[in-house]
Amino acid sequence: MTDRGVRARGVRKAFDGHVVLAGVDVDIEPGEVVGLIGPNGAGKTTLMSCLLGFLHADGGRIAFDGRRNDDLRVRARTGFVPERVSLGRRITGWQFVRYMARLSGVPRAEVDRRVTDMLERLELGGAAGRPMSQYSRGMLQRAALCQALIHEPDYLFLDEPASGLDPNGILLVRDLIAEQKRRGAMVLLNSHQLSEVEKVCDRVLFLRGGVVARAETLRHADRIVMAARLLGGEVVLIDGRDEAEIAAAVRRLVEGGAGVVEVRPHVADLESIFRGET
Amino acid sequence: MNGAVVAETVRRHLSSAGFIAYLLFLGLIGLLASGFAMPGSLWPSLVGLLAIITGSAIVGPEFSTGALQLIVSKPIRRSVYLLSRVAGVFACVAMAAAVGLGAEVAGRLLRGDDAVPWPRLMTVFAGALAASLLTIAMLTLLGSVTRAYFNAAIYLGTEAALSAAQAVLGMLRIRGQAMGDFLTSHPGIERGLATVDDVLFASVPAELTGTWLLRIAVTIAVALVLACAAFERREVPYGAD
Repeated sequence: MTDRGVRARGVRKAFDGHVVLAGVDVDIEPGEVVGLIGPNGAGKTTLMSCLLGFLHADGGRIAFDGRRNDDLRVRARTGFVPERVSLGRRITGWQFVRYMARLSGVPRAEVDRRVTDMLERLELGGAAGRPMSQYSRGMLQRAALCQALIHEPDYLFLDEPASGLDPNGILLVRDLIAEQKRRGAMVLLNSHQLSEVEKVCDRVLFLRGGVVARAETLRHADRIVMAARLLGGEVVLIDGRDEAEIAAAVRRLVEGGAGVVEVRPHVADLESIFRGET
Repeated sequence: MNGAVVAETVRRHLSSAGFIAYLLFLGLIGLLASGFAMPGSLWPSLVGLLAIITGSAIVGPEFSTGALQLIVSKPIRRSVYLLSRVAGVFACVAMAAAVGLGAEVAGRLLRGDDAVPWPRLMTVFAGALAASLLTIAMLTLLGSVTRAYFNAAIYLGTEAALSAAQAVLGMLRIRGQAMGDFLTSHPGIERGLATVDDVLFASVPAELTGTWLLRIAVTIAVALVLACAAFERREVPYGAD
C-alpha cells in the first residue's frame, strides 16, 4: 500500500461513553469517489468530522498522502461542503466565496477572477451581489460548493451536497464530482440519496454499529462488469477488460443457446443493500 | 495575523446597522460630554460596553451557526484565526473610541473652549482602549471554551459576583463579631479579592501608570495565550447523523 490517498486505520470515537466509531478503516485512492451510507446515527458525520479534524479520534490513525489531517499543507488541499452553510446574514455570495478563497490560499492576484468564474459555473453569477440571507437552500448549497472547489482541492468531502438542489443543480453536482475525479481528486460523499450515490460513486462504504459493515465496489477502474438478463429472468454477470471482451462473452452466451434479452452495466443495487443491512 | 480575517471582521461590523447606530449614539454622547467640566466623561463607558458586546461574539456564535467548521477546514491555524478576530474586533472598538473622543473634542472647539484638555482626554482614550482590549481578551478566553453568548454571561456574572463578594465581606468586617474579627485579622482575603477584580476587570485610573499598563498587558497576553491553547484543541462538531 502506498502513502497516496486518504488512509484511516482503526478510527474510534465515543461521546460520554457511547461508542459511535468502533474502529473504522477507510482507504480512498486519488481519483476515486467513495460514498458513505448508513442509517441515521451510524456515525457517518462523526467519521467525516474525524477525518477532517473537527473531532479528535479517541484512537486510530488518519493520514492524507502520509501527512496528519491537521497539517496545514493537507488543509490547503482540502475542500469541504457542509450540509448547511451559514456565515452571517449580511454577507453577499461574492463576499462569502471571496473570503473563503482567501482563507484557502488562492493567490491574491487570482482571487477575483476565480470567484467570478466559480460563481458563474455554479449559476450564481446573477445572485452574487445579493445578501446570502436572501438565498434559497439550493443557492446556499451552490455557494458552499463554490468555496469548496475554488482552490481545486485534492481531498473533497461532501456532506449531502445535493440537499435542497433542483434537478438542474443535482445534474451540476454530478458533473462537478465527475470533473474532480478526472482531475485526480479523491471524493468522499456522505449522502442519504442512494440513487445519487449509485450514479457517481466508484465504491460505497456501508457504516453500521460504528464499523464499516460492508464495502461494495460499484465501478472498477480496470474492467467492465455487465449484467445480461436471459429469457426466464436469470441474470448473468459478464466481466471484461474492454468492450471487445464483453462483446465476445455475449456472443458466446448467444451461441451457447441462451436467450439474451438485455445487457446493461452492472451496478450494485444500493437500495437492496441498504434494506439488507438495516 | 491573517489580513482576510481582520478585514472580514471589520467589514461585518461596518455593514451592521446596529454598529453604525451605536457609533452615531456614541458621537452624540461625546458631544454631550463636551459640555461637562470633567473631560472624558460618559463615552468611555459606552466604549467598554461595546467591547463586551462585540467581544462576546468572537467565536461563540460561529459554533452555533456552523460557520466555524468551514473556517477550520481551511489552511489557517486556529490561533491565527482567533487572534485575527480579536484584532478585527479591537479595531472596531478603537474606531468607536475615536468617534467618542473626536465628538468631545469637536464639541469643545465649537463651544469655544479656551483650550482642549488634550492630556486628560488622551489618558481617558488610551485607558478606554486598554480596558476594552482586556475585556475582549477575557471574553475571547471564555468564548474559546463555551458556546454562543455564554461567555458574556460568565464574564458579567463573575464581575458582579466579585463586586458582591467584596461588598458582603466589607459589611461583615464592619459589623464585627467573629467573622468581622477574622476578616480584620486577615486583610489579605479582601485585598486578594480586590486584586483579582482589578486584574480581570480593570477600572481605568485617573493617571495611567507604567505598572497599570504592564499589568493590563500581561493579563491580556495570558488570556490570549490560554484562549489560543484551548481553541487549538477544541472539537468543532457539526451536523448530526
